[in-house]
Amino acid sequence: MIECEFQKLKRKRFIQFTIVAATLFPIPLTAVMLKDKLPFKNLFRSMFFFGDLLFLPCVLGILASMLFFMERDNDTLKNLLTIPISRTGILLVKLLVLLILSVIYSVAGLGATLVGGILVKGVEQVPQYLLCSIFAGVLVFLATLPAIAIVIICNKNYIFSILLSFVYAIIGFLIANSMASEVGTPGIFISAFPIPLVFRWYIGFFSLGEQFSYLLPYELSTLPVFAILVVIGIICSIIAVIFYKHEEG
Amino acid sequence: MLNIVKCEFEKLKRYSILWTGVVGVLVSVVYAVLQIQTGIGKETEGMGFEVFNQVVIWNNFSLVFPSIIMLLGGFLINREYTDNTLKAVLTASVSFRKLLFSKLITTGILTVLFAIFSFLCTFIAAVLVLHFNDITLVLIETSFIQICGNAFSNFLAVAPLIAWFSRKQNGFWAGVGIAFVYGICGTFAAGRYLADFYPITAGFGIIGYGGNEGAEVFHPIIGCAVLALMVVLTIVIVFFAPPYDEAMATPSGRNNKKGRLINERNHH
Repeated sequence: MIECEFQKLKRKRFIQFTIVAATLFPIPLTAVMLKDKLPFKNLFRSMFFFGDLLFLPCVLGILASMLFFMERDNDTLKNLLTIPISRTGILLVKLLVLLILSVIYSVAGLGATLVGGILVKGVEQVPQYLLCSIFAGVLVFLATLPAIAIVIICNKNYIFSILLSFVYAIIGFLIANSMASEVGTPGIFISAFPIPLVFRWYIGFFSLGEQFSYLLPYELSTLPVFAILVVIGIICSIIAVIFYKHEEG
Repeated sequence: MLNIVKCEFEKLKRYSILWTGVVGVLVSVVYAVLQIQTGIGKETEGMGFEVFNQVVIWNNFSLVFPSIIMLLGGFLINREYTDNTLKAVLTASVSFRKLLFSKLITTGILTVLFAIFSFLCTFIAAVLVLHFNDITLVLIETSFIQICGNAFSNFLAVAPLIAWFSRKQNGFWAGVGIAFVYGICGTFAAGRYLADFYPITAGFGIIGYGGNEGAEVFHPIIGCAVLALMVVLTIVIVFFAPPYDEAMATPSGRNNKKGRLINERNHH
C-alpha cells in the first residue's frame, strides 16, 4: 500500500519540488554563514530552525491535503474500499507516507547543508547530525499531526488546508523564535506546543554553550519529547480515523 | 484595462481566499504585540509606537506578505484555468497578456488594501493593547506610508513570480512555497547590508525604514533600481506568456501522445 501511494505521488510534481526546495534552502544560509564567518554547527542550526521548524510543517500540511483530497477529487476512494481496504488502513498508510517524506526532506536538507559545510568549514560528528535530522523528521511529523488531523476532519478545500498549515507552522515557529531570540519568555504551557517542543528537544540534543545559557530552562531530552509527541500523535490519529470512517463516501 | 480590473473585483466577492490575507495580517500584528510585550523591561526598554511599527513591517515582509501576495495573485489567475473560463474571457477579445496584466494590477491593489488593514490593526493594537502615549500625527502618517510602501514593494518583488508561475495551471502552488522562502531570506539580507539589493527589502530606503537599530544605512536609488528591474522582468515574462492552447494544456496532456495530438489539432 505504501508503494502504491508513492507510485501515485510520482504524478505530483510538488513532491519533487519540495525535496529540491529542501536542498536549496541551505544556499542563502551558507552565504550568510560565510559572510559572518560562522562554523558548520551554526549553519546546521539555522537550517534546522528555518527548514525543519518552519518550512517542513507547511510542506507536510500541503502534502497531507494533496494525499487525502486526491482520492476525493478523483473519486477513487470507492475503488480502494471495494478491493477491500479499510478506511483506517488507507488513512494510516497515508500518514506513514507523510512520515517517510518528512524524514526524506530532513535528511535531504542535511545533505545540502553538508555541501555548504565544505565552504564554511568545521564539519564534524556527521553521524550525530544525521541522527538529529532523522529524529527531526520524525518529531516534526508528529508535531504537525494536529494540523493534519484538522485538515482531514474539516475535509475542506486546498486553500483552507494550506492556510491552516501555514498559520500552525508560523505560530509554532514564532514561539520557538521567541525562546531563541531571548526577546520573549513563553510560559511552560505555550512552550509545550508541539513545534516549540521540537525546538526544546534540539537544544537538549546539542549543547549550545554559555552563549545560550538563557535557553537552559527550556532544555528537554529525547525521551520525554518523543513520549509527549507520540501521545499527541496517537490522539490526533484516533480522532482523524473516527472522522475519516464516518465521512460520506 | 480599467473595466477588466473592475470585473476582477466583482469576481473577488465570491472568493474566500481574501481571508488568507486577513489572517496573515492579524498573525503579523499579534506577534508584534507579543514581541513588544515580552521585550519591555529587558534591553529594549523604552519601546514606543515607532519601534512597534518597525516590528510589524519586519514581520510583514519576512513571514506574511510575499507568500500571501503570491497566493492571491496566483489564485486569481488559476481560477480562470480551473473554472474553464479562460476561453470565455479570450472570446470577449481580451488577450491572455492583457488578462495577466489586469490580474497583476488587481493583486497590487489588494496588497495595498491589506497594507491599510495592517496599518489599522497596528494603530488599534498600539492604542488599545500596548497603551503607547507617544503616538503623534507625524508618527501615524509615517507608519501608514511605511506599511503601505513596504507592502507595495513586496508586491513588485513578487510580481515576476506571479507572472512566471501563472503560465501553467496549478503552477502557483510552487510559487507560494518559493515566495515564502524568498520572504524569510529577506531577514538575512536586511541584517547584512544587502537590503538595497534584495528585492523584498529593496523598498526600505524608499520608505525610510529604521532598520537594524539605525546600524544599516539604506540607499533609495539602489532600491528603486532593483524594484524597477523587477517591473521590467514582470513585463518581459508577461510579454512572452505562452499562447492559450499551451497554457491550457495539462501536464499529462502535454506528455502523452493523445495530448500532443489534441494540441497539434488545436494549433491547426
